Amino acid sequence: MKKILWADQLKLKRSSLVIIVLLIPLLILAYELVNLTYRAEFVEKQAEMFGAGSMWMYLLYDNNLLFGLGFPLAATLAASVIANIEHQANGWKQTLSMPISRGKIYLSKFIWLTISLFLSTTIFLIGMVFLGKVLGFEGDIPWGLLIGDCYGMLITVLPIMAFQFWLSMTIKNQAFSILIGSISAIMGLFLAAAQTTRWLPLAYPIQSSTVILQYEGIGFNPDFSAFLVINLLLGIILMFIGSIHFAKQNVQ
Amino acid sequence: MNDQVLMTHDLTKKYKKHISVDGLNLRIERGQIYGFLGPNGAGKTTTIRMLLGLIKPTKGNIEIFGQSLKKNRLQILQQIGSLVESPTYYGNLTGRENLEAVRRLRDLPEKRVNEVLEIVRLTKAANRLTKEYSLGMKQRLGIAAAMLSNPDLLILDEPTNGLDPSGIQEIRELIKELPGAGMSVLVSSHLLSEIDQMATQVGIINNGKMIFQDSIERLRQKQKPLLKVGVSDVMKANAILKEQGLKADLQNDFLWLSQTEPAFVSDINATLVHSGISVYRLEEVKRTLEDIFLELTGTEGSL
Repeated sequence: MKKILWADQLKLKRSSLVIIVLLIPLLILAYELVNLTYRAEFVEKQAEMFGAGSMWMYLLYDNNLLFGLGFPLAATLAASVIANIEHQANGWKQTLSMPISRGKIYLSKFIWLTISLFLSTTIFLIGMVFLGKVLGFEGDIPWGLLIGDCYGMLITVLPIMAFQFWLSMTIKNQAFSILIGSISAIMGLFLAAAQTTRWLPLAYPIQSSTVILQYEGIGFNPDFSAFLVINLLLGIILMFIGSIHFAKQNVQ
Repeated sequence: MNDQVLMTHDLTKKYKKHISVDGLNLRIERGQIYGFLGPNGAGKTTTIRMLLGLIKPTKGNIEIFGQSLKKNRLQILQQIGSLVESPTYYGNLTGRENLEAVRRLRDLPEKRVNEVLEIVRLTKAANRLTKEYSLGMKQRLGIAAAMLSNPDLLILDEPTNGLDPSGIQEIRELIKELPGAGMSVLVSSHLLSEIDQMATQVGIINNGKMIFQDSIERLRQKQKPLLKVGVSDVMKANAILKEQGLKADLQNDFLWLSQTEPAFVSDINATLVHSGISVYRLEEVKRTLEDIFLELTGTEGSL
């Protein structure tokens, strides 16, 4: 397995994956920087109105929507880039005629997708801490909330990741998988708004935050742990279904 | 020399209603260079994809190194190197990195990369991005990747596609040397002349069916020259020859006989002239392998 991972790492060299890994966290951080400086007065008023315990909690609440919309898009694009390297190289017939099980080849690329999104969320985490320090947020850094918010997203996005990855791997035309990924990210936004549909997988990333706005103001998200368990299980199941289908496919 | 490297039995692939490969029985023995010949769309690439386990046959089975491909795919692939159709190249990597990716996947010693680069003469271009390579260079990179693992069976699908004449020559010389090291080679092509110059064994496929499979010598024997006889009265001459017990073919107002020895030719001449028929042409006509190929495939002009 290790040798396959190293081979895949080499194949990703000079690809546009780096841009995608950086893009979403940096865009959101740039927006927050503008929001917290130019609109500082308004933001402070709103934070007070929502009863946010600290500016850290307000920051987490505020970027939740953007992150929940943006991160599934990042997963879509990253999956597409990783799969497209093989499509573009005419590489399937070479890679799959090697003495390596197809399941492992699928898994290796999925691991790289997970690693790249892990890096993406880590950059976001570091960025948020940095932003808070630079703008002089009061109180201790709530590490638990920040880490939960970032890496929790990585887990809640797993089912979407597994599905998008399977689409990109099996369908050569990447416009198709990117279109599906974009539409489902936006649909998640609407599905999350209704009481029943918010339990559909597409709606999870939007609600995947350690803090949410309730009647009493910004507080801890009571459904967060349920989301983590559901998505972890669903993600792993989808990933295996995808790999089994991939292993059976004819290679043209 | 009599051990089978590759054997297929009744190999068939159907795409919906269209039968692309129909009951193929391939036989390749160790140390052979097997020329797999057929016009475009005859089913060569489909067959090769099945041999590599990339697509599943509709019917029939494949045995390589005495093992069933269905059951021991990974074990068999360990000993096979392949190049299928258009070459694989990761444009974002250099030539050397491309081979390095294959090397890592197959867990081979590092020095092999330089060795195969040397063999296909890409050492100088090894550090350039492959998206800048010419088609010929990409093709050679593909051959290098196929040879990287020093396989027992090398499967090359149209390896000389896109190469210039000197490149074709080089690849041909390279392939001819391989059996010396105990390798067996399957080379497909739609050009007979190419197969003629390197193969020891030939299989000709047309419309998915094997129409000839034997040694190249046997194919060449079909090449035997014919005697073309031009006479004033073809019908009468034919009747006279028949009396002599000779069977002649009538084609394009000429009589065609299968013997061309000088004594035989002068005998024929004497017989015909004595019977009052004027003979204006006695010609030995050599058929090229191309003619035989066209005759076998029956697809003149569509190659």
